[in-house]
Amino acid sequence: MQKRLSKTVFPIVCVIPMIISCASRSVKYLSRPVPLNTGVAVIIDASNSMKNAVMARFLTRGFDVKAINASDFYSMEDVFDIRDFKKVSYLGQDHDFLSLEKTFNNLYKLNYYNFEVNKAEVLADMRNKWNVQYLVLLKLRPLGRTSWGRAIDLRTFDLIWIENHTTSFVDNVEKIVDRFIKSMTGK
Amino acid sequence: MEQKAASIIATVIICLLAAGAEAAPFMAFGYLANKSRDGNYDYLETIFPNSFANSVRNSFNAKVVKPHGIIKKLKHYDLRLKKKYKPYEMAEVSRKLAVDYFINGEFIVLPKERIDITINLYDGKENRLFTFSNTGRMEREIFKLVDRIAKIIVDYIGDENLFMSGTIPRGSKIGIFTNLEGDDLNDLYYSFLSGGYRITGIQANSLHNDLYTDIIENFKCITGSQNSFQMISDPRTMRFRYGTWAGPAYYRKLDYVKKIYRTYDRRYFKAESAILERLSAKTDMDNILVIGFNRLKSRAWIRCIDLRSKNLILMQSGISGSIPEICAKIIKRMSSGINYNRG
Repeated sequence: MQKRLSKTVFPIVCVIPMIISCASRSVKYLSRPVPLNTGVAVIIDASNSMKNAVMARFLTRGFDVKAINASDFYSMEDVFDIRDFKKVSYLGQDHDFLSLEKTFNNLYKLNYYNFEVNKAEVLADMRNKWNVQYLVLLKLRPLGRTSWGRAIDLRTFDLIWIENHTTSFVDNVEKIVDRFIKSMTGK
Repeated sequence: MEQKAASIIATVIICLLAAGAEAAPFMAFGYLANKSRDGNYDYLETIFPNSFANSVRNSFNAKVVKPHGIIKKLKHYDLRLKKKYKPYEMAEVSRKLAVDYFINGEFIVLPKERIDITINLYDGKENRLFTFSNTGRMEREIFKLVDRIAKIIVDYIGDENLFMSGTIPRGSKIGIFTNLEGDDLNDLYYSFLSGGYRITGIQANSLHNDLYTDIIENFKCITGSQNSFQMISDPRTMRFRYGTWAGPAYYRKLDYVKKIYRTYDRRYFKAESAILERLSAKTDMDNILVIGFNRLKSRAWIRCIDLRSKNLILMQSGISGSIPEICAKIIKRMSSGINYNRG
């Protein structure tokens, strides 16, 4: 009996700390609530069926959900213009490219700033053309891992809501999304 | 037995002394060129570096060599100490003098008895050039200014490579570039939001982060209007070969290389200012904070750019702890600043 108990207890004792170690701390911050009935774009990296389940929860609560995909944003590959480098790449044999280290370093920084400007322009367009007032990003993760969400007010570009929630045994997609909606609306 | 113990103690003391001697950085102070077009101030070109050297030596365990000592050493190489060096020349002089840091700069006398001093500090260990400016009053407060600059130098050569030129008050709107993503990024945002800062939704507006640990290292070097921490490039090593063997296609490629080099090295600040201006206009933020974590997320470095002045205003390395602990240390530093007038 004692042997059987130790067989049962041992994996639990091992697994629980592993689950806890995968999860980061739970945090929640809301500077101003996202009003219901407002235009939101919900970005989530998930299968279409899960996306539908998530959008349905937002629609049920009265949000004006706009159809925006993560792929509607620029990716770094789109804005990283390497044409000039392609033209000079095979000059490397004749040139000491170490002297261009600073150039490459600066080029990457400028490109990254430019990437952020492009994203800001896309978001401004979303607000002006499609009346998207808030951008909501969600990541739903399996048991023991941390699901997270954040919301950005596109009028001011302020980050107004964040939450980290460790997915528990009782959670499912609907429950986590409901929890996040409740949290971001302050209700 | 007693003899053996004595020899062990002697060995330990010698080792400790050797370690201490090795730990003391070796610093060379060159001239501070007078840019005032008034020869009456030329005497300060040597007095300033001598004063900085004395002040640094008094407050930090450092070996220093002053302009007079540099002149003597450079004579062995048939060289003279110049008032102005290009960054790559500073690296060469530093190697010839076998010092860890080579410092020079310039000053200009401003109206109402004020003086602006710019210091160039070449860091031989990192092969980086740290440049900063500081303004003070002549006559009565000149020693305070010298002391302040010496303290900035001492802070930089310390373990944390610390520099700060003002506080970033709570309530400021900051944009954060970091190599964290997802829940870790939220954890970081939480610290700053609950610490009283407003966060701009740059990087926060993406599900994934393209700034990996090795890529964010690119942001360690910052070019500012007055204060910079820069990589050193040597244009002399760029060899553009010409000859009758080269056709038009070759020259077109060379033009591309030159164009890239011009835009992203020599005129980089102009290009950077323009893009930061656009970013600031789109997002209405006050500062960009770059926080680079190591792979274990247990150690971090920071850089902060003021978007109005386009200046590097905060730099620190070796901040250790968990993500919330590192953020707490950064927030404390940002809001309290450094008192360079401390005793």
